[in-house]
Amino acid sequence: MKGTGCISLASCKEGQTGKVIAVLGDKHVRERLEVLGIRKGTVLMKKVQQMGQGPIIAAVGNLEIAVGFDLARNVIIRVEV
Amino acid sequence: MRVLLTGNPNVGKSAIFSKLTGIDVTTSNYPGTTVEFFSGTMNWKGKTIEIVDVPGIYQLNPEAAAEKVAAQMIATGDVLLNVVDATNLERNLNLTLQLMKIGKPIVMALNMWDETKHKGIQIDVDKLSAILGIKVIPTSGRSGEGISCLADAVLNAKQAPETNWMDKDRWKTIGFIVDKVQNLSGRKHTTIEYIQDLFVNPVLGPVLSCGVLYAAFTGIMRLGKLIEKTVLSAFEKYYSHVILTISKFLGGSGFLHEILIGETGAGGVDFEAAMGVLTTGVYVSFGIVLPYVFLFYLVFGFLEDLGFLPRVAVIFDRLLKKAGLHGFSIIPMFLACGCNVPGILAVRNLETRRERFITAVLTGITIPCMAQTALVMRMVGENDGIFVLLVICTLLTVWCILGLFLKSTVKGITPSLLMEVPPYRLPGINAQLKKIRMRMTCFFKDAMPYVLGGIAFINVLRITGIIKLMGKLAEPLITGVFGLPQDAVLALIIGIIRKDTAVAMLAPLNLNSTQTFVAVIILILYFPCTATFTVLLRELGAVDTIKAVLLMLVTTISAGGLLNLALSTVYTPRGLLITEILIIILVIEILEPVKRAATEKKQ
Repeated sequence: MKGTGCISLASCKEGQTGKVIAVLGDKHVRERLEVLGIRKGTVLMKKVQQMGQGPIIAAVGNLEIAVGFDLARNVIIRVEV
Repeated sequence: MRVLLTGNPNVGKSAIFSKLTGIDVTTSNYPGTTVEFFSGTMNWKGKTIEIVDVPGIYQLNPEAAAEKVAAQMIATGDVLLNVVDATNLERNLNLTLQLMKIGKPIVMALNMWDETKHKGIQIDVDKLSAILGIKVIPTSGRSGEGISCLADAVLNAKQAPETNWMDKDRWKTIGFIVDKVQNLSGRKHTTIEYIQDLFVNPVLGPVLSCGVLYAAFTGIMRLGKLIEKTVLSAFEKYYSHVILTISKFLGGSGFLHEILIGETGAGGVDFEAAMGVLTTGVYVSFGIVLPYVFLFYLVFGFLEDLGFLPRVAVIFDRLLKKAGLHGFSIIPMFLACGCNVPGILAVRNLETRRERFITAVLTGITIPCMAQTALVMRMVGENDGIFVLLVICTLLTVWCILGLFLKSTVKGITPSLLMEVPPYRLPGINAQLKKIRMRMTCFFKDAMPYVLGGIAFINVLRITGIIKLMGKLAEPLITGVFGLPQDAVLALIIGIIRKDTAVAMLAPLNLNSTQTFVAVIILILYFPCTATFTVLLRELGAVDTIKAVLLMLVTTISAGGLLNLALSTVYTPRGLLITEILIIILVIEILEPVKRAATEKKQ
């Protein structure tokens, strides 16, 4: 089925790797993520998430980026199975 | 010739700047260390070149105040020296390509070159240079590798070639370049990486972070006390002779004697109570303020270069959200624990006005600087250990309530946390020494005049009788609301100039433990010291500063009044402590879920 495995960075599991297929939100939000390397096509790995809707740390290439929970909901990834 | 050092945040621009110019600037391991620009000159092969260290930016379409400054400055340069983090080539090239479109001569410093080796990154420098059409020099700001080549390249910098790619294809172009020049090989997880990951572990992270902070602060206090004792005995042994000689020379009394020496007892000089510029002023500066501030910066400098702070920002994100902020605001607040001035200055890194205002207000009101903290802890701890906890919990309670109030009243938006979390890097000893030297010089220049001048000022007020008048005028508030003796007004006035000196002035007043507690809380809350006020005015502007000051006054009067009322009527210190802890838990853990549940029900 089309669309399976598509999930936001906020809701995927720790340790999962995926390819960003869309970044939602307005231009401003997309630009903020883009300059840190999170954009359509980026492969990232959700390293860890703080408790209670806390921020997520995602590994993007050699970098680790902390993404607030609300922002992470805008990052849609296709999880590699 | 004017050369601008430009690049992403935290790529080591300031380190390169130091190496090129020989001028010391602060470097650390988190994005946004440089909020103001520094400029210096370099003499190379008979030519004098002006070098400007520009705050880091990710792109030429900036949001934060610091980025705006950077973008404007770029227009004024003759040559752009683009500093690039070799371990993050892809993201850094984004800015490089944008800079090339400006059409100025560009040289690229491929910095952190030494780190690429153990990270398994190989970059073909010649190929990169050929593709971009600009000179690319591998450098290491830490060791100085490649700096002389870089200076040569800057001197002979040529116009960047015209680029023919479209703006919307920028990432595609970058991907193409990176594919051609970069080669990644597998690498192992190092021990330091295991440790850095532990600090963001959802369970262990908060425990470890708080543990490190607790250890740091108690360590500073213990060691500080030791230094303080040593300095005091040295003062009594040697310096008191000097004072007594001067005192004799001045005739033992009179206007000048009052100001410079103050009161000398029969047994010798009491450096804490004499209240002269040369006695108490010099002692407070060297014996109390200096050791604690020095130790704080020593510890803080290490944590900052290590990369500890960005992880603390991640851990504290949830707490700061309660005040309408996000995790990054912990960095100004943490800086302010040493001295509020750099704390307020760091507010500039925040993106929106709302964040800047809330952070500055919360910092200015609830965070005491290190010297103040040390004095407060000692003074309240003398009477009863529970008051130490009570001071901490009271400040936290004020922080929570004020934060909640600001969150719901200050208009504007607070974006979600989004920041790079740099890897742990073991700080070099030389850089640490340089940093502490710079900060201490800064401290001597900024703080010493205030301590000495403040004491001279208060002596003039005392001799002329103005202080008595002010005491009478403020009596209803001081005695009626706060339950303090009229003499405390002296300390409150000096608190406007220097908080630590003010706390030291409470000592001879013989307050009981409740009074001491209320007095120190008022001193911490009520007004920033002059130096902090000046930067507050500069960073927030007049209107917001007035708002901040009003908030401070309201907070102080209600907090001081309530605490006095609570402790003089129904509450024991222990009862008050428990109440405060309950309020904190209510604000942090209960209020929001309940509110959320209520709105969901409505929908």
